[in-house]
Amino acid sequence: MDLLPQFIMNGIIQGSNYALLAMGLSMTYSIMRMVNFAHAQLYMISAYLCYSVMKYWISNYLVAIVLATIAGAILGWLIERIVLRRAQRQNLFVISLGLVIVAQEVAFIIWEGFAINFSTPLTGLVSFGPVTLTQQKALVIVVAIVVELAVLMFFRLSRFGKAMVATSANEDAAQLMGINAHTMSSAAFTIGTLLAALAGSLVGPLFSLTPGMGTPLSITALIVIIFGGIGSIGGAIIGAYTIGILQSVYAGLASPEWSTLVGFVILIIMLSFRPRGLFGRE
Amino acid sequence: MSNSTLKKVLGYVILIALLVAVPLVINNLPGRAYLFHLLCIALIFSILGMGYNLTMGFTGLSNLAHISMFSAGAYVSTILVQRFDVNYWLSFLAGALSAVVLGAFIGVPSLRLRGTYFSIITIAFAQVVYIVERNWFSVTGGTDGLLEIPNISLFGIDFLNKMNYAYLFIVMAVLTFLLVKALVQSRVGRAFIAIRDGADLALTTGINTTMYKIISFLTGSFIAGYAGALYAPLMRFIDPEDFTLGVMLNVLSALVIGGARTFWGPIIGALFIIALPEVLIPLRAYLFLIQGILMVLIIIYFPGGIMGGVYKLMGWWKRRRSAGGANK
Repeated sequence: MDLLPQFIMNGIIQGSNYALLAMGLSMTYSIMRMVNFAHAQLYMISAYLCYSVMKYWISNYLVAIVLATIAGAILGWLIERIVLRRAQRQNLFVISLGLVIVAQEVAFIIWEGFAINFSTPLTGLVSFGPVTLTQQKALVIVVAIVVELAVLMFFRLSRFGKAMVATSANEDAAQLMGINAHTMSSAAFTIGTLLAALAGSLVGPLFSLTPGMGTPLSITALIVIIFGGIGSIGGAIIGAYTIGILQSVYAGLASPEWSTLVGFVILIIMLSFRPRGLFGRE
Repeated sequence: MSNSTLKKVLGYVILIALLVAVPLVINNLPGRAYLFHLLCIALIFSILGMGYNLTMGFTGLSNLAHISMFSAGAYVSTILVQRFDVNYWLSFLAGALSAVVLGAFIGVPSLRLRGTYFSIITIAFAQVVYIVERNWFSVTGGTDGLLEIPNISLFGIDFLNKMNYAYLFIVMAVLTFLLVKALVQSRVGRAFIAIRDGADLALTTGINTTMYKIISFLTGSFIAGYAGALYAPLMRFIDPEDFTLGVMLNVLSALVIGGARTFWGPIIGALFIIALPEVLIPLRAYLFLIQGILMVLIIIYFPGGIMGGVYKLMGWWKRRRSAGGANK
């Protein structure tokens, strides 16, 4: 049992990752009514970009994070402008499945299929009561908390954030108030991919990089927002940490092979009994 | 006999002659083992796609667990043959039925949800099935898979020659085609299409939408199940990586490219994704990329896929001819 705090800490790290992804996914759904199955593909692409920047260009990790995140956001903006805006809303989900294939193949062609170990200079250890973690992991936790607070404040306090909330509540009414719905969906998608790209360059180094690394995360992020309630940022954050901790504790105490099942079992129970999630509006 | 029925009969005669002739022609070509293998894979994916078209295309259910039913057919039939020495054709039936049972297990709870929620829960179920296949080592062989699956035989003819597989799969594909066509053109099929085009409206006209959705889902599962039972002896080896979400996306993109909602779409789609890498050898590394881009483009600009385009052209041609006749 003395390992339990360590498992919980690993769960919090996973949860931080899920939270960064789920917030963006939730925004995209609220504004565009799109379940973006390709969401974590930008996570994967920017993890690779961050690796390549450090290896071939600038070996400063912080600069690489910033560059990869910005590149991911620009890519997201382009995808919204070039592809998604031309499609009908009911087709967006199937289109995102096509984008999954495209993103994975692009990564496969550029970086090849072999798993790449991506190490950063942040290898020192931080002790924290009964748990020990690397600086990289501590950075993930801290950045996630800062970003979560920033996103929550953005929607509560800024004019632009409020306009986005208004669009998600009632698009027609928002447009009558002079809010440009196109700008809002562009912003929602770009901010979402920016968060995914940030997560990729921060969490990517904790695992090895493969072109297929995005898909399981997309699935988990979907489970998280359904658990927390689709459209609720707070619900997404709470759901992310809950599922992260449950998975990690189950993997540690019971069986690591079957721990991926935890999320699916939660999803199936949730959709069967309370489809709107913990904090979702009916 | 009127002109149009004559044309139809002629069309079927040509089609049957073609289906009989193709394997005979391949049998006389160099590299025939490989060509037969490609043809058989294309036929399996056609059968799988026709079942998928029933739920995805005609009933409008974006089911992403279709591949799980395919895997159930493959695993159950193989395990019965290898461990329990059951006759292949009996285990073939058992595989198809087990897929229906799995389909009921997945479909009945999932079909309470609509639209994208339905897709997401089917992804979750498909992942559960995949994880079970990977980790339940004593039954499925885990990541090692099941090896040395025996060849099949029918009426004392063994299937050492791949040409026999080709004929068997052609017969199965034709039967599946007829099954799907008969179902879609019946009263049941009209209910499917009504559900796709507007579930609420269908409900108010007295269609029991839940029941018809389940019928569609289970029929699709049944077809996927026997496709799986045919796949295993052809490959002689199955493992969980044959049944991933990636393969599911491949099946989906084949259907979208070939043309969902048309009877020929899944066949054209399967031939397209199998034949394309053989024709465009220099582009082989980019094949999936091309497939993904095509899928996105087709959904946005050309929702009918290849067959939708063909029908549009045919309609345009007919209109032009009848307009020309009127002018005379």
